[in-house]
Amino acid sequence: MSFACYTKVCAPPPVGRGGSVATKKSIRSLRTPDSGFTLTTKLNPMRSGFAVALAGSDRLVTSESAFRGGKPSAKLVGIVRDRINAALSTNPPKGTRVALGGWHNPDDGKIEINVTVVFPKTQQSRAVRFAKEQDQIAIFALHSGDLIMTGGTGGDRSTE
Amino acid sequence: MTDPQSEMFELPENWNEMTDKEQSAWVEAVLVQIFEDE
Repeated sequence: MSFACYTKVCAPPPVGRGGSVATKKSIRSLRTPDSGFTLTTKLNPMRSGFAVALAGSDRLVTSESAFRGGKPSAKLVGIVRDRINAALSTNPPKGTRVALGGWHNPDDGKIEINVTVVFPKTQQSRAVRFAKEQDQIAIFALHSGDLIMTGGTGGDRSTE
Repeated sequence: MTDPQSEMFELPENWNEMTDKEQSAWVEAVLVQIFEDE
């Protein structure tokens, strides 16, 4: 069942049907340092393949300004909306899937939301090559939980 | 067979036709619901 927006101002998902447990768990992980998620553009968690963030697609917010009074801030909402749209307009390399990535960096406390490309789990070397082209620090194996370092800088990590 | 639990947060079908304000309202509603249940 999908949530259709059929009114002028979109209604939230029906009470009591508050979304997939797996999706909730994935997004909640943003509160926990060194945790994150990779979701399809339909917001379902991805569990297999190598996730590689696209260069320049990161949008960062400090964990302090991501939540206000325990609720997601307008800044976090804006970043998530913006990255969903960026993911939807991305043409991924052939044989890969575009996704929405999120990670809470334990080193600087920043939460980043980005556009990620997921390679099949049989294509690790291709994923690593792509990550190097994208100047990424590492890629993440969704099926095993392994982080594979790729030697890049990760680009600009300043917050807006 | 469709797993009803896995598709609850699908983007609205008319996402691309929604205004920025409507999209933000939807994202906010979803995020609030996610973090409220903690």
